[in-house]
Amino acid sequence: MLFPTVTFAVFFLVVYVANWLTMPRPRLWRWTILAASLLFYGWWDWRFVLLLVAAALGNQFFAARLAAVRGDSGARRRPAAARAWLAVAVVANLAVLGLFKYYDFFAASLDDLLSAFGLSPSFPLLDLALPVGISFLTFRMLTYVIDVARGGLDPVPLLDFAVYVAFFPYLLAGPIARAAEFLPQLRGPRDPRRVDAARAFRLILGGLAKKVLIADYLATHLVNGLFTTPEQYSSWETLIGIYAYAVQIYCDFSGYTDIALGVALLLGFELPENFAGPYTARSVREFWRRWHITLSTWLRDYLYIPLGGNRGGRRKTTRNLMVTMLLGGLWHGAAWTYVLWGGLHGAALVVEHGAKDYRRRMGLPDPGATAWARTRQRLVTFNFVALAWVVFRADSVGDAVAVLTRLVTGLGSLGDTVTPLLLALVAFGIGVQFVSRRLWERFDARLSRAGWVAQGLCLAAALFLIDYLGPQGVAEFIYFGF
Amino acid sequence: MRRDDWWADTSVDAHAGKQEAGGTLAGRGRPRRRATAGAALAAMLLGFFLAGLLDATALRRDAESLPIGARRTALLWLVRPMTALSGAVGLDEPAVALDRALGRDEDGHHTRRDLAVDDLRPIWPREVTARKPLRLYIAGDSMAGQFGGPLAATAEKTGRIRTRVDYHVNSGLSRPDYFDWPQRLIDEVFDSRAEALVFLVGGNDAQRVEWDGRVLEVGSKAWLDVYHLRVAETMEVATAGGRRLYWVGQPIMRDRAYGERMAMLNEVYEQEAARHEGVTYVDTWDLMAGKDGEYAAYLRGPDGDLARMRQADGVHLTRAGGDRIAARVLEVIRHDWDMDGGSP
Repeated sequence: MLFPTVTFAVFFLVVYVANWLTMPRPRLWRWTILAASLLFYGWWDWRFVLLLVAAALGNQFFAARLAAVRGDSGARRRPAAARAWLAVAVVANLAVLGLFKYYDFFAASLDDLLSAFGLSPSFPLLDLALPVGISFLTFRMLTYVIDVARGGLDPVPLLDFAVYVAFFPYLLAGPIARAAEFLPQLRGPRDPRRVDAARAFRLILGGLAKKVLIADYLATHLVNGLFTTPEQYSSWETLIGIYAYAVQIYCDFSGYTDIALGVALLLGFELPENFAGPYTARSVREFWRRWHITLSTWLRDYLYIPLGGNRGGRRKTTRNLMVTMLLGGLWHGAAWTYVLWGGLHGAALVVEHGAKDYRRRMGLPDPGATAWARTRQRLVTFNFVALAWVVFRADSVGDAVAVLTRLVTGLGSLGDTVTPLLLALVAFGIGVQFVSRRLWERFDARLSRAGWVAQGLCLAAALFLIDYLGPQGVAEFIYFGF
Repeated sequence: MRRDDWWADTSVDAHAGKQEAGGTLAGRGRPRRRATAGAALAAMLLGFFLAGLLDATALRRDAESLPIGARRTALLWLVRPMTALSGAVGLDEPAVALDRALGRDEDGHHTRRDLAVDDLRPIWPREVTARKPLRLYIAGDSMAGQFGGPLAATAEKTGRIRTRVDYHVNSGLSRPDYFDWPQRLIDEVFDSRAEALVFLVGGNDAQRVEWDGRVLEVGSKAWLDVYHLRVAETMEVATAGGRRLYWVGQPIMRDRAYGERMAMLNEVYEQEAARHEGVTYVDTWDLMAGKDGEYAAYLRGPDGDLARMRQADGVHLTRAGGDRIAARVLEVIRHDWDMDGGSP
């Protein structure tokens, strides 16, 4: 079930009413949310529901075992049994992910490698249907078992855990809410007189507009064509197309997140923010504080720091950064392009770390001391990120090179592909990230005081315009594929 | 600041990144007023209802375009009264005004008669050169989009073919009320002065159709008769004026039942292609099958490497799959226009 559809609107109205009616009876309320979430997921393919159920049961078992053997949370070293159970839990979760998402990729890659040496292996390829959102699901479950193992969380009842696993607003593409921040929200009923409706409406409508009016338009009018037949585009069109993809993926993914946050708010849940104006960043480090925040903090807390983090000198920091970013890239999909994309970001982080250390040693001043210097930093960062997106978007490394080559070989004019409307949407998609959060909050506050009739009229006008101006049909969100 | 915070940077400025807890104005200005669950529901119901009335025509069009069945009937049952109410109270006017302002109400259709003009003659056979390239129009549904791009790319590389790709997701020939391909071809072929067409549809066509007030089941004799008529009409439109049409058949599918329906459509295409002058049927069934003749998601590419040809749904093509079909189609076109013998 896609968010921007009539089917979802009807589904949500029913769930909304059931949610608030059953909330005073906590057990029934949890069952209601769980049933709605399973229906939402089963809408894609009912077999996926079995995967959710199995994952919830398996991880609940691991959590119970870990709680029984983890010992004192203040101890420096976890007992051997706890380490063993944690390893089993992590391996089991990654094995399921690997089976569905990566097995064919690695088997085919190994086949190619061995074929190059004259061997002719024959690995069976499984061609399994990829459950939507499986990478997000795996990371959510890992937070639960790891936090239980670390002593920061006690196992919760199975029903609570199942709701955490399957909660439909974030089920398909995040944000990656951690067990420790979501589960407490299941404890007590919310006050039905205190629904944060105005903010929710603004988030949902803004998300829909980003997805339908900007992301889908840019995809169909320039980006898809550029990445399929780059030979047909001039250097200028290629450059605009690369920027357009940067805006498309931002509007697509942050649009989904906004809708997820808004939908959850209407049900009385607060989900973590995932975006904070990523293209305003002045460095790649800052970009990762603003882009897909729940993934980057997950990678930091559950991979980078356990690897050793910054402790252990420059060489180990470099290794840890590269491992984290390469695996972070691979998390997005089973293709070398994602690994390369992660590697590019890892290398940029290493360079920035090195430059910072060098400046500190030499006593050099902050390079962002003036407004112009900060603008320059933003431009450099944005262009690096946008060029790296080319590798992320392309079907193969060769295709990425073909697009990037057009930047210098496709001499010519803009042509009629790049229209003023398209340029305006690209500029808007970047410019909107510079709008102060305070301004949005003022808007929310004003809308919240307008009353339900005015809010309903705003909803009607916005929904009508989004549907009228948007293309027929809705493309899937990019991050559903991950 | 934690030393391990690998992107921690204290120099974040006043722009959007500043995280403010709680989502309130935290002392600056008036905080948001929370609504009751009932008021929020009332706002949503009012919003959805009014948006439905404002956009009733589009909703009805969307509902009518659904496959014939219970879901379509139920949605139409809901939407028809809304369309009537919208017209009665004048809430369809904003959409009409917007149509007028944006020029969406203009009927710029061409007719078959336009295609018969002979200013392009002789279309085929003729020598294709870099100075006088072949104008190729590639059209169809989402599958056409997946191999159309690679075909356009490789064709353009010859320096003797100019392409235009025009695909429409969910389209086909079963439901002209949703998308009218013959009319689309008339308009686009005339405007683009195409000399040859590559066409692929069918993936969305195995659905019930309405004909003379009756609903025809897929695969019944009456259904096949109607489908033959629609394929024939499309071929006649595409080849008007002596143009060449390369009709690309459906590849083998993972789901056996769905694959059998596609094989049935392929038979229709092949039979009609044999009856129409200027139409070449390009078979892709075996091209996309494994060595054993069965469905295979992975096949070896021209470089000998294993490459994934089909998407996870077992239907759509990956880039490598698109490349594979594109290479076959281009080979047929080059042969048909005798492009392998002469120099560009």
